[in-house]
Amino acid sequence: MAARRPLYYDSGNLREMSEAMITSIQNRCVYVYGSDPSVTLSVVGSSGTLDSMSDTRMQAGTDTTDSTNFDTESETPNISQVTPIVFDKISQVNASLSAPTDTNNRLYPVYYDGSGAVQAMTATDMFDTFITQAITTLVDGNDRDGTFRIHTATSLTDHTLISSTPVFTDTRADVAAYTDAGIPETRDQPTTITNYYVFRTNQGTAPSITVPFQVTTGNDLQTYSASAFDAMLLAEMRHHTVNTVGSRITYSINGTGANRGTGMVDTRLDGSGNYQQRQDGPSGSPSTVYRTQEFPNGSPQTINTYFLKITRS
Amino acid sequence: MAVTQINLSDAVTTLVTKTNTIASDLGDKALLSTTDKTNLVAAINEINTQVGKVDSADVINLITANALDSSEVIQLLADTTADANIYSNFQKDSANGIGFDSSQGRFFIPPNTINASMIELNAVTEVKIANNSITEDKMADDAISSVELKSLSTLLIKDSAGSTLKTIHGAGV
Repeated sequence: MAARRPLYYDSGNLREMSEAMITSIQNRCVYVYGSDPSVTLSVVGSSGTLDSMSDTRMQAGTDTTDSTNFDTESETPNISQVTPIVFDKISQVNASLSAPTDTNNRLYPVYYDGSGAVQAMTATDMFDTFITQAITTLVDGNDRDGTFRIHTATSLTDHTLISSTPVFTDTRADVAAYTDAGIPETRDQPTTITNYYVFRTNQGTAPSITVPFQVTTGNDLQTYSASAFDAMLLAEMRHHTVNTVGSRITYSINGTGANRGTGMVDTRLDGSGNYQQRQDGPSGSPSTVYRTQEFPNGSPQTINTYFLKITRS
Repeated sequence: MAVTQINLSDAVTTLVTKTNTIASDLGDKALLSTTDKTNLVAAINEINTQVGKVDSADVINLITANALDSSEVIQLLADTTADANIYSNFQKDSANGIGFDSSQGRFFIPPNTINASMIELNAVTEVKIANNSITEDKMADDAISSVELKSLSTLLIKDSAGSTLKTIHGAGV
């Protein structure tokens, strides 16, 4: 660890940055990362790189018919769970990047070494001073510039919808769709409870910073231009978030790390079945058909909750 | 006054009178102020010897011997009644920065006349220079090195590999 205190211009003097100034630059790293994140999520049709999620729901049992009387509830097939609907739509894409080139060993800000020298920071110094803290902020679970999250609507303030295709849909049996008069009802009559979408947190307001000195090609000290400093910070952030072990931003479904947005809940009705009968014809007529069927019923219960997680690994 | 002459025809009384006149004209040798009072020739020779002394030591001795103070010397030099005014022989030497005030009878060095050639090499020592008087313009370009700085403080600018890119020297406190 070699966190440094960069030097800046202060009314004709060289001065070491305060902790607050360094923190501002760390926040600036988060901000610039938001302009061009190196780790992105996309919505694909199938086979996403993140773990899949399953939506489950109940369906009606098979209906029964009898020419003499109604089958009893025990004779009537029970409700059952439909084959889970698999959602495997989220892919993480990492930009292919190399470490920034520190040409002539003067790419980074300068600091006072305590022994009479003003020295340019190394890439390690830069990482230890600014980048690692910024990455920690990015993965803290809050809405950070350039990170991704889940939301239950197609719009969200300060966020950009990645795709109008939901990455997960919670469905349940539509109880209201099943009626005794409708026997034989179609067994699987779902209704959508909630759709979940991926959003990217937009780049926010630029934190105000004090721009430090760097060593010029003429071996002088000069304050970076704001744009050059931002570009340098962005390059560092993009590189470390995809290449540096322990600092790579990684998304997962229910992996380690902080939750990003709303949990995607798979709910299902918990009833054992609503036994219903339908007499199709007058009683005693040989043509009369006695029908029974069990419909999904009960209260919705959470079967599983899937969180989009973010961590550094 | 005519020269007293004795004629062969003069009476004894006239001879007596003329002899006394001659004696009076010669004076009493005992009253000579010369050192040698033996006779007039000796006295005159003594004076002649003194007149022949013209080098500075002789002049000083002469002045001393005659108990002349400085004002009397100046008065003597400035006496315009002399056959030749001594002041008139004094000359200024402007080329070498020497002026002459004829009214005061003194030489002087006018302002702004001492040039570089008048100062001996290495003659201007530290004590001849007033404190805090060396201005920036008096410093030659590229003349001050780090060893002249008081309480030298040095700042290095290094690249991230630790190689020194620039060395900056400054005076300490």
